[in-house]
Amino acid sequence: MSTPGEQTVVFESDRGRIVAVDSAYDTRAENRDRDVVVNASYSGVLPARFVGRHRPRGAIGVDCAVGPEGAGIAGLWYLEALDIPAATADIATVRLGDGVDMYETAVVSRVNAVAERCGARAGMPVREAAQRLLATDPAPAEPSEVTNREVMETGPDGRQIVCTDSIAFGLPEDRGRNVLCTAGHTGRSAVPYLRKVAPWGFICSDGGRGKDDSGIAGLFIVEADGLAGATVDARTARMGDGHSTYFDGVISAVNAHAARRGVKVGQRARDAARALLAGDPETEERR
Amino acid sequence: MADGVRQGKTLLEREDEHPQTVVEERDGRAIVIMDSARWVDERNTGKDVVVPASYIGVLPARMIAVHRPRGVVGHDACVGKDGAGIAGLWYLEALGIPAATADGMTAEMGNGRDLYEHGVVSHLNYPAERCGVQVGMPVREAARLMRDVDPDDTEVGNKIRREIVEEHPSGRRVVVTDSIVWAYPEDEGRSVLVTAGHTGRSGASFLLEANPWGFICHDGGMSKNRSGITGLKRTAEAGLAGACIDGNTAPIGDAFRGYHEGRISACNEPAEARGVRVGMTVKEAAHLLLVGGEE
Repeated sequence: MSTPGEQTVVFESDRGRIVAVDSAYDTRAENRDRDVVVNASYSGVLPARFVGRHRPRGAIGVDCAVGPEGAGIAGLWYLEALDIPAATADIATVRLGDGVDMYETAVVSRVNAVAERCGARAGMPVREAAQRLLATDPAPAEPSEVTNREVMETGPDGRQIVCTDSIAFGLPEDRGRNVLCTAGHTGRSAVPYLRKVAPWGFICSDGGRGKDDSGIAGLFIVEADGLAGATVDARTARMGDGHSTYFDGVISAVNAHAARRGVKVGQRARDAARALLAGDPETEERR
Repeated sequence: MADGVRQGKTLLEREDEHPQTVVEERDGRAIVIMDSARWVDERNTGKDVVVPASYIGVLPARMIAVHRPRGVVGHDACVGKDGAGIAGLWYLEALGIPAATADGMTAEMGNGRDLYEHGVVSHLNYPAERCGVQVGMPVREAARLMRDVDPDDTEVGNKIRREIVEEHPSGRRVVVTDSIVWAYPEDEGRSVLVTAGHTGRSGASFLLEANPWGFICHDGGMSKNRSGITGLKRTAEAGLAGACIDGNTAPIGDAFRGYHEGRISACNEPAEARGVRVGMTVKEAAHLLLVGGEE
């Protein structure tokens, strides 16, 4: 067990230390550019300001069940902007206010993009994630490079289901071939991107729908272009995270071409993506 | 499908064009509306308040931040799962960029003009607050404030929000402040502190040190071994009356929303003796902590 107000060194290498503290407020100037601070505070913006002030090499806090509006993890994004790799531990694995216990037993629930470049992942023990943050200098990445593109499934005809965070990250190879699971809204400003990429199928976010259902307006505009698409309910999948669209999303709206392929409101996005991939055997030519 | 692509040609060009519309200009600084955050560019650096009708998640925030505009007003996409529709506010805050979002039902997504003309602010970051932006304000007014006001006091760590919300003839009062670490010596034995950090082991140490008349902190989602409220026990042993805000009713870290929107999920015996009960509103519990407890 750690001592309140003090830093307990739980790991050391030639690059620096992993220190366990009970509270984010216990982060200190001596941690700057050197230490990974494992703190048993929630990871909101407020504690992140106190961690960020001292610019540690990395930080791991607690997600506190994420909570309304993501307040328990909002500090991840604050620290990302400062290029500080940060992660949260799953609340159900953490004794709040005990940093050493957290280092020894907790499991990672969320990471920011910088921590991901260090190799930290959800589901990893906090101990391992902290050691990766200590050992790795994350390669710098331009915003347009953080696409999180991954092929999730390949059909018998070579068509693929691909997750990527934004339709603007579509590639020439997606044209007429792949089903893209992306995570921006499907309002009118998404239309130029949908037309440019012209994927075999797409699933984007409904952006919370917004005024006059403007968050799904693009679905119906691109019907004229023959594009089959659907949206996921933004309350079920995180915007800006294509994998969340695929794994967490529930379909909230469908255009006519997607409906013909069997996509339905209320369906899980994974199943919808598979239906889009298979196409409509009656009217669409299989290649 | 190929025909559709050809029809889209001008739209493809629009991506390179980054269409922006200047709606108001003053002293070389403009308010610039656009349909997508991706169209923020170097023209806006250091001088313009951009009003893109995109959600303000981390991804659009990255795209915006590289160009360092003076301020940002976007769309909250109805906040959504894990607050992903507004998470970019915190990214921009770390870079000192004032940012706010409009309520998703007050403005169309992807329509910068509608956002500017009809949007109403729903969420904002700390630099925006320092500019005078408030929830409920028209987007137009928020954008003007960001254009005209230089946010001061944006050093990390100094966002001390503190307000006396109720007073008692005895001189005692209910004080709302975001964290127990901002307790003052004058709160000792006198203030009911409503704060928004968790009530775990480390929180208890701060509470015992501050020794207020009473306290209400956040339950931190309860967590492993109910460690988010373990401080209730330690403080009860010291005779300190306290209760916790249910993490499902108010966000952690915002004591003001906790006070106005929260409900009580747990309390200790000294608080119970003053009439505090699980399920009551935080406001009511704070009042009972304030008036009770005299011998």
